[in-house]
Amino acid sequence: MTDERPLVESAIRGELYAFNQLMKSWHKRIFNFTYRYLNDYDEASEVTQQTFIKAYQAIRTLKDPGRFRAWLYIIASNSCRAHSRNAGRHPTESISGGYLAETEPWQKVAGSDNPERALAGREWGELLRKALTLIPDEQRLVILMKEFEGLTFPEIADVLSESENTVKSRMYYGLKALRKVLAKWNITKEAIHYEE
Amino acid sequence: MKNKPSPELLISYLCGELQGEEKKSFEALLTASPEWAAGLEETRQLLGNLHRLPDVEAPPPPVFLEPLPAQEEVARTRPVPVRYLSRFTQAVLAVAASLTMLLVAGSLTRTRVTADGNGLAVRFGPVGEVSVPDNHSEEIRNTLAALRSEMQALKAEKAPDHSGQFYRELAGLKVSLNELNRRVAAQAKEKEVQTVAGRPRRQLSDAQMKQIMAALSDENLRLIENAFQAASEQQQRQLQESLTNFARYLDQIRAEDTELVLASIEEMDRKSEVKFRETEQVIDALLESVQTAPQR
Repeated sequence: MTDERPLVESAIRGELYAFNQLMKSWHKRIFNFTYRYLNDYDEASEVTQQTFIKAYQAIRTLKDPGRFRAWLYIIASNSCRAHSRNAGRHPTESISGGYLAETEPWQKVAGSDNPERALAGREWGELLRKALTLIPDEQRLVILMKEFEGLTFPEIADVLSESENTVKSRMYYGLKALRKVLAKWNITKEAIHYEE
Repeated sequence: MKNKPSPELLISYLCGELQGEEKKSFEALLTASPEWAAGLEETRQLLGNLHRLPDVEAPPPPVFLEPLPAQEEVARTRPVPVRYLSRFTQAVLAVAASLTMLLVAGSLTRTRVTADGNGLAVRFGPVGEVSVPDNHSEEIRNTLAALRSEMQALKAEKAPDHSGQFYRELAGLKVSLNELNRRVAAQAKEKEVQTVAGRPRRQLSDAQMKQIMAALSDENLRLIENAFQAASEQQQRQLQESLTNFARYLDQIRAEDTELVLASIEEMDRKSEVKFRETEQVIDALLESVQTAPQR
């Protein structure tokens, strides 16, 4: 991504064109971030729109243009969490009764009752999206920001207002929980076949 | 290996943050413990698979057409602006507003409040004529008319901005009334002297003069009483309005504080829920390692 600092500075000064340019360059990233968090296209569109409206209203209060990326993800994370809370989503009520109670949704996705059947890339993608929604919110946020958005651990710690060690710990337990979900669905690395 | 590496260390290794000696010693630990190495390898593969998850096509981004809100507008949308006005400023503003309202209302309705031995009376409309004896001189009539117009001008045109100015004007009014009394008395005396000198233009008896003086004194007293009565009522209303404003201010502060406390409780709930889930996972991990220990 090109250096966006001049654009951010112009937007902070109140230049609408600069803000629209920033939104154009960040819209797809933020949409995919919210989509992976919520796993629903329409809800992700709505939350992305809310994120940019909040950014539009508050951009002139941003003190440090260098923090724009972290600042935008703070707004997006808070919007996602608020949306989940308002929608009454509780994906993980307990470690034993929550996501581990979900069994074999891959059958619905793949349309097959053969667990040994190799999963194509698209099906695997859908399963992984579903599995991501079943791990705790805070762990999912860390995984999404680190693995998909390319934020560094200090940046994630800044976004979530937590220590770096807490962030790393959440990532570890999040990945572990994800492995458990996939194991419960009998999805092993051998079952995954990529169409590339 | 006796101690399992911490989750933070494992993630640092997986994400390539360990360097040099630290990395070598960690890899040595992994070599000594194949089952942890296997678990780590599985996590590494999962991370690799995560990276293969493609982006989806996003809907077209919206375009903002309205100018970006100014900083002061952003600040205005935030709550609690009242908190930044001191109580003194609020009280002064309330007093000024009350005075202005009273003066405007009084001048529009031509309200006259009088207090005497028979009680308090409120009258509206133009000021009535003061009854004077039939043989009253034209000069005295003119003087009285000038006095009334001066009083009305003072009431209507010079709206006091604050109590200090108002009282200064009242004192000025009193001085001018005294001056007028003095002038009327001097005119009466002059007439008496003229009568004695045998060049009378119009004659006034002692009783008539006394009557005129008494009427003037009554009028003066009434005017002064009215002014003080009005000032007292204004003060009372200001006090009531200040108290009402203060009660409203307290209500607002209470509502904002309640909102803040509720938000804090909600945030605390959320954090404790997260910690609870994390603790549960840690316990789960510990239980797993305890269960697998005898097999080794």
